[in-house]
Amino acid sequence: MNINQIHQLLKDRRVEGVESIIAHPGRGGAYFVFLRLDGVPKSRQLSSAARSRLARDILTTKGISVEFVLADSRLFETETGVRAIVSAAVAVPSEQVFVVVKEDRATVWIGVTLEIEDDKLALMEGLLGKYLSDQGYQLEGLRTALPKERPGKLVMLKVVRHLAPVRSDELSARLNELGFEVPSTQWVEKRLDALRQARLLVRLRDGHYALTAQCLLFLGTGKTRSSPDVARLLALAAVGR
Amino acid sequence: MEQVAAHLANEARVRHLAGDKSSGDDDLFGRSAFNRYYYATFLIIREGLRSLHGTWAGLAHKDIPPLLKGEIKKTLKRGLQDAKRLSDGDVVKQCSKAIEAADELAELTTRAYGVRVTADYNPEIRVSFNERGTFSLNAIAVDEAKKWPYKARALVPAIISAWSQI
Repeated sequence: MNINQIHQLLKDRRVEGVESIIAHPGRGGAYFVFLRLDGVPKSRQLSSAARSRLARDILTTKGISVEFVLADSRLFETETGVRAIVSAAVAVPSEQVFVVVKEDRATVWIGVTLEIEDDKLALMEGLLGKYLSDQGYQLEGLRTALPKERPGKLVMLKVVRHLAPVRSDELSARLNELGFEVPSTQWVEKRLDALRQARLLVRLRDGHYALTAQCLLFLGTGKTRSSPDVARLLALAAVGR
Repeated sequence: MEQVAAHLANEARVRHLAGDKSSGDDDLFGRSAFNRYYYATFLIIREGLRSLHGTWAGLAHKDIPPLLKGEIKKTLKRGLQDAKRLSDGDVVKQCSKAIEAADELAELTTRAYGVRVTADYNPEIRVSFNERGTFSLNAIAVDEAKKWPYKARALVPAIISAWSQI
């Protein structure tokens, strides 16, 4: 199929606002379709589900792959308003604020860690919700960058599995090496105790920790090179055991 | 690279407003700005993928969206389920956020790549200027392209932080 035929195909399928169609340089039979949403009534705009269905259908019936790229100046303008609201509430460079829209639901992303009191945050969310609603979107949520992470239960269990039997200070050191923020060995011990009460760990008489059979079953295994057994072997070799 | 892109964008605007339309230089500077904004974004994403898996650093541009929507999302979803079974609320939240980020990053990569392909391989599609000298290519505004690297810088860490937990 050539580009003119794809234009005709999209016209036959009543797709409006086609700005241009270009061939994908790295994949034969693949095309980008640029769709302009401005000026196309909302009722005639293709939803993301409808676009996916159409792309799938074209692939099945015509053997070509199309990727839709949407140009929506309404979203761009909305984003400007969102930036103004966020910047007024917290000292965030406006470039760090953007909006991700899925159908009519909008998620506001802020690319920095926010240190903001709860009431101020609630006020900002309220303002964003109202503003977005006026623009025809529903506020889905606010996503901010995370500070340095503390280790979750899963990663702690995985590290115990690699190093078992392991002492809490060894575990703490390993988690630090992996880039986690570990407040203290006591903090690790408290977490380990909770895992022990959940019957995922046992504490041996000499103070070392190991996983229970129940936990091993839960974590599962694999036969590829990402197998936890291989990882354990490498981890033990790295600490000279 | 973003500085280079901004410089090219400004040059396109200045040349257009100076009435330098017949030479087509405004168009050339404009499309080059899109190209640079794309590469600035691509390099941020590639660096992020490298930190997830060494071999992903060498992926072709076209392979990045399927990777994000496929293997990366699948792993994050598995992590989400594991975290739910362990009642680890923080990791559940991180994984949910990372899944959203992977979707959006795939979308962003596809979009930015499509514009870059237009800029580099489709000279018949001209850069369109308005009276203030701001411009767009294939209806995508250069002011949007300027935001691509910032978006990538926010989305990539969301994936990395969840990945490290699972």
